[in-house]
Amino acid sequence: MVSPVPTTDILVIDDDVELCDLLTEYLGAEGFVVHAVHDGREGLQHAMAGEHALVVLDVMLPGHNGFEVLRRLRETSQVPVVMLTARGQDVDRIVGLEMGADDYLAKPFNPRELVARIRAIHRRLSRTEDGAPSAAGEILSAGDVELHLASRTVLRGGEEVTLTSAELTLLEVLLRAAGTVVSREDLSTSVLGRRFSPYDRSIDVHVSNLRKKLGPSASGRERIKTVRSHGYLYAIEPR
Amino acid sequence: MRSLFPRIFLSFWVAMTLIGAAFAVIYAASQPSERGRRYRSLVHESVRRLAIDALDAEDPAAELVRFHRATETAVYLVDGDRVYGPEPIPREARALARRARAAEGEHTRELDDGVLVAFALERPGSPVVMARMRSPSPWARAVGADTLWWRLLVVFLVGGLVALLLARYLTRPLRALRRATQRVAEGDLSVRVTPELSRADAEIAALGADFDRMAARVEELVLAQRRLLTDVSHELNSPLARLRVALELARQRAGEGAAGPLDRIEREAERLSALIGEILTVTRLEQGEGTPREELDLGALVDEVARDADFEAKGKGRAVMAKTEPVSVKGDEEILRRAVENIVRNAIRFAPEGSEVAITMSREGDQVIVRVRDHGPGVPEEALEDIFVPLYRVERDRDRKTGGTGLGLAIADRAVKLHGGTIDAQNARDGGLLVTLRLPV
Repeated sequence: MVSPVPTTDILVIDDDVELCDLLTEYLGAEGFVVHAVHDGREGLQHAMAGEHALVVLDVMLPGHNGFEVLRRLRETSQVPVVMLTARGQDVDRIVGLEMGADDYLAKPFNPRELVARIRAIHRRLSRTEDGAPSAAGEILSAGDVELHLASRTVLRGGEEVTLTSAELTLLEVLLRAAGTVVSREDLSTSVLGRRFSPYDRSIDVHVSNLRKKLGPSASGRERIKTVRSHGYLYAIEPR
Repeated sequence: MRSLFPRIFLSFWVAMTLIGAAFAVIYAASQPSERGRRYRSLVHESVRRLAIDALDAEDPAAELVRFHRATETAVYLVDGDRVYGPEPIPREARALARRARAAEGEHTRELDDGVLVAFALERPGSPVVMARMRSPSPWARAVGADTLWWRLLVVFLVGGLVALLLARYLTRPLRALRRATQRVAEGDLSVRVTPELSRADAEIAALGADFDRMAARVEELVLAQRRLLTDVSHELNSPLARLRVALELARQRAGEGAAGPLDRIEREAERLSALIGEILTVTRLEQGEGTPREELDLGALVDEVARDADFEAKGKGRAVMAKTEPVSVKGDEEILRRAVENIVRNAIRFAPEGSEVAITMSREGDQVIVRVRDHGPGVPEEALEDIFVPLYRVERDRDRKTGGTGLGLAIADRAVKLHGGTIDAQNARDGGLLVTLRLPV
């Protein structure tokens, strides 16, 4: 499935008009086409229209606030979202990721960092979408969970589980290494597309979301185990 | 400390006992004893007169009934076979009358609730009069209320009880005020005493109202100051966000020569952003907004922080070691994580190169204790408490080489207090700072 939208089209939802102007100029120079919207309700309409490859969403918004926009958006769309959270509100980051955001940045942010995050998300998507030819029809499975790489769908006991792209990539990496520990550093590189930075809880939150969505295994055990001080491990069911 | 309660209690007790004792003694001295000879002859004589008057009357029974109604004393007159007197006539009356007729003097017969005293009016054979004397109630006899010493003891005990209640009543509003003052000192400015003191005496109630006015005013000022700080911080965020994008635009257009100054601008902007973020965190924690309380494993949390801190420290040639154990505490995971993280990162900041920051956990009673120890320069003794004050910096840290916003430990302190815990710092005996965090389990 190839997205009909050019990957450079970005929707920015932020009520700071001047900031949006500056971002449009800056991101334009980096090769992106920015569409800026300053109101949550209007932003949601544009985001749901499927005209953009990625959404940059501020948490503090008039109209619907950013979380509300994200919640409604996730009901119908899996378009990648980068949340802009207020500094001093650590919880917002976790909440954003839990609600299905792909990544976050604390505002005021470094615009270079924003570009890096956008590119990382695109890289992740294009890698899985183009796929190596050999991997086109590949199915990764463990127990009752199947990951169809070509269609990017996950089945548990034959039923489809809806995952965000970050969660899907995370599951892919863990399944490929099923039975062995994958370090948080490696997960950060392969899932978030950036080097692991200490005190960043993104991977842990994505793992926790994935656990919730997959539920316990048939034998009632945790599918993804935390290995203290090392990382995470997808447990292979004893047969 | 000389406490008001025992003093009020004791003085009331002594006063009441003395007053009671005085009354008891005066009563005993002024009242003829019921066992006294003069008292008995007085009774004897009046009963005799009454009987003679009754005999002369047309209806002796009516006379005696009237006397009984007026004095509650039953007097009977036995003339031959006839017995006059208020009903019911004791069954023992006739037998006793026969004895009194036969011999001189007073004859007595114990009854269930007293005694019957009889004597002949003139000589043996004449009519007999008898009076029914009620004994003191069995209860009074049981406690021995009929002797002076026992009365004094009863006065002493009752006085003590009354003094206790009175002292409690008088000191209760003071205790309520004291509790309220303590809570204000602990930072809870929403406390008011008027509801509790509404029934207290006017002077105390007025004091309570004044206290409430003072607390309300302080709360108003503190909230206004906090709101200003929060608003200013939020307002600073928007221009700073624009500044950082504009900076990158400048970078895109400027030549290589501008890289140095632009990097510097970026670093300072990042420092400002961090500072604003931490000010917002401190004010949010100080407001103590309803934090979600969920069970979490503090050991796992400390472990995770230690692992990240070790990752950070490794890059600077330092290490972080943690010995943890699973302990379940109730709290907000993100806030507690922030507290532990700030303490550990502060330790790393001051740890000399090649040294190790050690984190240990232990349980003492219903507390879990996390200790973070570095081998840095420590803190002057007089500043050990100040390092938890926002923006406080130890003098030699003024050059800011160590980085940090000066809010890390203040955030940790607020976060831990929000969870009902404490945090303190000591200089380890062999150098370095030891920060101890205690949380209720």
